[in-house]
Amino acid sequence: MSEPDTAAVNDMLPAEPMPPVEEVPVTAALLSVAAPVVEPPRTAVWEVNEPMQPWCPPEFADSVRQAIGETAFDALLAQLAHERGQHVRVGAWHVTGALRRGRRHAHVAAFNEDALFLHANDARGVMVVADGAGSAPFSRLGSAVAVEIIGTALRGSDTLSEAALQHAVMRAVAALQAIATAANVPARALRTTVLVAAWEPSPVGTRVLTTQVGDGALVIMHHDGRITRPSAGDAGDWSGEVHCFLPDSETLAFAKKACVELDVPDMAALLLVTDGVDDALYPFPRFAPAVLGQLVHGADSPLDGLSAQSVTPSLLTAASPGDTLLAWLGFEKRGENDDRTLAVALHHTASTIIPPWAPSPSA
Amino acid sequence: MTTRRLPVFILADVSGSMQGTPIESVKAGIRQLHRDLLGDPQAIESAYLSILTFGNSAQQVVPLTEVAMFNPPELTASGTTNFGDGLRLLLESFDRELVRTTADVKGDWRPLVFILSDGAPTDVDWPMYAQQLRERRPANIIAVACGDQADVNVLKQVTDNVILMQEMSPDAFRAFFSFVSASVKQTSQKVGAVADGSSITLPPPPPGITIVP
Repeated sequence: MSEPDTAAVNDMLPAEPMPPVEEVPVTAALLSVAAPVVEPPRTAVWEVNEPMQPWCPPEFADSVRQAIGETAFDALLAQLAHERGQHVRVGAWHVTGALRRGRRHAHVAAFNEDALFLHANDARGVMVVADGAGSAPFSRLGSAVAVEIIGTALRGSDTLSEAALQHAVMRAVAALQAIATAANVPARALRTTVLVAAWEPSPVGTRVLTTQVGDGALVIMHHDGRITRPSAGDAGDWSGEVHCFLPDSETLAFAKKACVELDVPDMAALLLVTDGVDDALYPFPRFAPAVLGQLVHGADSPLDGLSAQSVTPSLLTAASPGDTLLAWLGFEKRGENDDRTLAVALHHTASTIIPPWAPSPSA
Repeated sequence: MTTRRLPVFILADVSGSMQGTPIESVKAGIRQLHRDLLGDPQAIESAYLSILTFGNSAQQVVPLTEVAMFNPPELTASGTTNFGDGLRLLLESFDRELVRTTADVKGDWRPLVFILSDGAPTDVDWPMYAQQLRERRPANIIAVACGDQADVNVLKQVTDNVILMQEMSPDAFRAFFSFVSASVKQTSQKVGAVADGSSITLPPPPPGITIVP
């Protein structure tokens, strides 16, 4: 969200000379503020408003174009819808992703700050999701540039390795720092999280490489229904607080620490979500079987804890899986109005492995 | 699964020096704040308000209550400025009412605390509680020195974020509570951990209210 008029308290202005205190009597105007009354509880009314400022302000355009290339930049501008779904069917895998602007950003006429990169062919799959920090005024650019650079680097890398992943993250950090310098803003103005997963066939099944910087969740479901989480999301004591974003100086250390390379003989699904999903369905690994049950078999009633959810068909059989996932992301939960992004790779046998979700008897 | 809350605590000085226009202005400001937040859907869904006061002793006049169920309280001003008791009660309220993130539960947003005082403490215990607040960093605390009798140096020992409201006029209080409302509306978003000093970004203060460096 672009908020150039905000100021950190620590950056506040020096105190002005203090004028003499003026005695002001209790006036009719003062007392005209309504006396306490018990009103019926109000419900939230959300508006949908379009941002007034450009998605990529002129001072950023050249450096962003340079960082991700002319073609990718034009593609980003062309697909600047607040909501987007994508799907690729290749070999044994259905790869689907969608991102949806949160109600809070829609209400205040702000852009979606999440970003998504999907790629899949017979040789390799890559999914990258990112969530721009709400406190960073140009985080929508940070997340978009980060997923594009990391995703493109992994797509084109000769080998899928920790070194390739580190290199991709390093390139994204360097690009964000260069963009900040060119636009004369602090690098933290572009802060974003990132979750990365790439996979390719291996002699034992599927070789998976993952990392993350910041919050959000990344899970693997196995043929026996087990959920594993290669790396834990970064979280503090309080909601919304993480210890490191791209392009902070500690980014590479965090990415390296979270980097996992696995040979998975029985991968049924690989799932990445930004915190707009993770926070609403927390702890996500516990909800992942239910989420995957809905994505694979369709959803006809809200998951536990959600107040509303669209009826959606299976991603495996839907005419437009990207739009189906986009509709699924429209679930409602009180207080959870952040941007939401989900990317999922489903093995074609997922419908026989993952059971359908059913509401719990107490729900 | 529970709703994640943005807890907002207002700790107000209700000592004798706040009698008259100041206390009436604080009451009016709280009513204004409440009405304003009722117009914001995110605040309706996540902001919770609590009002604490300190005079001869401290009390929590309104426990942490969701905006839609909040009733602005009646406040009266009298007695001494037992600031330490107010800070003690604030710390107790944190322990009792706040939810921190665990492996199973998503915690509240980091609380916002606004401390208003127009004078100097009359108790001797306040430095101990001020130190606890500084060490535990349980909230984003903004202290407001109201008028020229407020002891800015005392408030600085509680938090680095001290603002000065030069006048104690109804307009000044109204502007201050608009600032509180704007702060609440933009607080529930992802930020860096507090250790990097970036955890709080507030709107610019309105005219008549300045930042104490």
